Amino acid sequence: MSDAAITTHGLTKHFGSTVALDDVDLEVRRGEVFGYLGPNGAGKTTTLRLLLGLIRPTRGTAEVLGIDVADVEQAHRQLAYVPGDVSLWPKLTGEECLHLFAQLHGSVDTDYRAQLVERFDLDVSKRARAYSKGNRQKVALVAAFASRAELLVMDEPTSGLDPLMEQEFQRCVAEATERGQTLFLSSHLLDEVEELCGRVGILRSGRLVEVAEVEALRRMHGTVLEIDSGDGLPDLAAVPGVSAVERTPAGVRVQMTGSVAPLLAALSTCEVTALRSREASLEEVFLGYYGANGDGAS
Amino acid sequence: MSSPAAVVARLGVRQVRRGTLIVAGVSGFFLAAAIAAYDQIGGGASFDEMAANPGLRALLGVPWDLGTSGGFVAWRAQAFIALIVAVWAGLAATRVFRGEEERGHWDLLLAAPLTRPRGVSVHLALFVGAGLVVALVVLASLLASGEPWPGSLLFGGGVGLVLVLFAGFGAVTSQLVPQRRLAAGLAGITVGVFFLLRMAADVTDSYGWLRWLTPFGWLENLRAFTGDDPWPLLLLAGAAAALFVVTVVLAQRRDLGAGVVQVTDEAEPRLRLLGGADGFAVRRRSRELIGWGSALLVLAFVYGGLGGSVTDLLDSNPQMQQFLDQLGMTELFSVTGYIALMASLLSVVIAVYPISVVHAEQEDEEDGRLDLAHSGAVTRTRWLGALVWSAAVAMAALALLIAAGLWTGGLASGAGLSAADAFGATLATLPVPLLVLGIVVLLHGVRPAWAVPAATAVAVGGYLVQLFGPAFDWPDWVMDLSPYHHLAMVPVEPVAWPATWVLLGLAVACGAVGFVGYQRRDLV
Repeated sequence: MSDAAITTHGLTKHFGSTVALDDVDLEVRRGEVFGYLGPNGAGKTTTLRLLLGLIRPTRGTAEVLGIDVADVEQAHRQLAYVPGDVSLWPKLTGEECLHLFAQLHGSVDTDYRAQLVERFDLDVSKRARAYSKGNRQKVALVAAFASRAELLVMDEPTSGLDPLMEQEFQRCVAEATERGQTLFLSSHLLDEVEELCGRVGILRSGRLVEVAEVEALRRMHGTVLEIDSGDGLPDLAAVPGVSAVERTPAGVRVQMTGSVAPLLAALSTCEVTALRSREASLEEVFLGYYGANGDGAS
Repeated sequence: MSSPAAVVARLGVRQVRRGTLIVAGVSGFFLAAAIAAYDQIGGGASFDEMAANPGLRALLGVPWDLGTSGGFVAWRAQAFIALIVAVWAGLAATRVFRGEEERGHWDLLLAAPLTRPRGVSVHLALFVGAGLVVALVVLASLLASGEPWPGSLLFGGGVGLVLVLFAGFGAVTSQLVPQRRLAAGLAGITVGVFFLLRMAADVTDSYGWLRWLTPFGWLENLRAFTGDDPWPLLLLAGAAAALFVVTVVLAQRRDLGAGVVQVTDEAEPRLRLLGGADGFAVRRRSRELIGWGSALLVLAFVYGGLGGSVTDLLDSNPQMQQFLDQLGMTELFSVTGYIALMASLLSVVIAVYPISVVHAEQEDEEDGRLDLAHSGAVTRTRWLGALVWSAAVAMAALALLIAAGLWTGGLASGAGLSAADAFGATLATLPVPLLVLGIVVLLHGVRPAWAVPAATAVAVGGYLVQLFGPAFDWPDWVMDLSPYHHLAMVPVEPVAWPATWVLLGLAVACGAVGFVGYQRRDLV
């Protein structure tokens, strides 16, 4: 048995002349929660649909739980999918949808499913045409978690959920990881990724530009110092280690890596009223990858 | 900047453009073919016997005066043209109104600075435009064949207004119920009821007043080329206008997404047929069969019932024989021949059924419903396999229903038709629908965007070639392109086994390539 939940080698997908995914090598370990980040059009959904065998790679290979993704009958017994835009048969009721997906999947924990329906506050006697986007999302989430599949692949799973339901979702993720299930989730919501994920991969224009632990990524992108000062501060951009300087109402915000000693030396002549330091948030890291270098999607 | 209404109108044109042109083209072609047939046998033939025959009157309409090619063509073509125009208009209107609303597109349209009555009116205007296009093509076809202006104008105008009127019915049913399929079914029933009323009205002159109760009768009462009475045009236009007003009023009074008729969104779960790909396919097919099956059963029963009287008139008059040859209706000389002809006609409907199945499947795929289905432990081959076998069984069931309808209809009218003849005639036509199934599966797997139009061209276009080839004196190789041409007229002729096996073999080969393609291709 392979100890990787997902492995891709040189995974590439072209749509006509558009390169949607370019030579992606990715490994997701069993039991981890892996966040897949990237702006719109970076190739997140394309990757997920390739892993599901819904679309075929132009080049490269992909395996889930050691099984080639083309062998859907084997692979899909052990994985469950939540699409980004859940579309259901309008005439089927929620319960009928859940039953159909359980049958197609091949396994279901019905007790857990009943519990999840309760927790997500889903009225399964309604026909799918009466469901809002959030409710359709809940049907897919309940079906996926209730399958107890070893690998859960989710495309922006909380889009359309209200904050209470988002909390419920996070509890479900925690329960799933406790059972040793692996989660691969694409997201825009950096708070959510920070909360849930151990490692993240960052995708940009179809290329995987970084794979790292959330902690390491933050460390790599250093520390943020907010300096409040009564009088004018010297130009800090030239100080070694400082990567960005931004004005705030009370002073400046400085992003930096390495030792803070040169910065403190530069500030020694000024009257500093307050100095706060924190690690860079994932959002700042994320913007560092996309914002600073222009439009990441292009 | 264009006004929102203009933008919405342009968007709407894209939705009805292709259908309008196809309906217009088929109508124009049909007229030209009927006139060519008439010209070949030369005018002046005596059609008195035919004119008096109740069965032919029910099938085609009242022959006001068959002494001129105009009078003849109006009689020969009006029932067919009015029917396809009405069916298309009803379906297209329910698609544009309820179908688009069900998919949430109307939410977007009405988020623009556009009132609901105006949005609805713009879409209704689309069908006035479609009616105009069809009317002009019909007019042009008649004039090009040398028919006189007044009759051509009346006939073209009448056909165009029939289109507008039945689009009105589709628009109203779309307001009434919140699902496209239901709205389309109601529009279809409306067409069917009015068409049956026209048949009843035309059987004998004593029921002639019934013609004033159905739009199809109004079209006949125009007496294009044989009296030219323009007043029924006003009836058609007035009724269409009334339906338009009803549509706008109903649209204004209801919630978007809901119908005037409230339906509950809660239901007891029925899980029996949700046990995987096969069960799910059976569930869907059985629902479709209710609509298709009941419509075909009624139609076959009516056709069967007309069998006795149609063949009564036909002696061995050589002029009549030649005439029917030109109409592609040689077999009308016996009840069994008549049944063979009707079975062949109804097999076109069976051939259209698998196209509608694949069309629905493609809608599921485009809307993303198949993503979740295919994330289950089900191979593509199994999923498509379930669709194909269930569709094939449903087609066989439709054929049996047609046979039952023809047989019981024949019994009811004392046409002296045996069950073996009825079932033999119908089952012998099945290879063509099955070939269409093969073709539509092939393209669904290999080139999905072509599947529905190309398969429809084979199913419907092939029949038109078979029907009108003789009138145009088309060479054999053109006739051979039509799959219908290769089958024998069972029970008049023995089953053409070689052709049957070739068609079935082609169907299987096409289907097999389709499976391979579907296995390999990307889902949309």
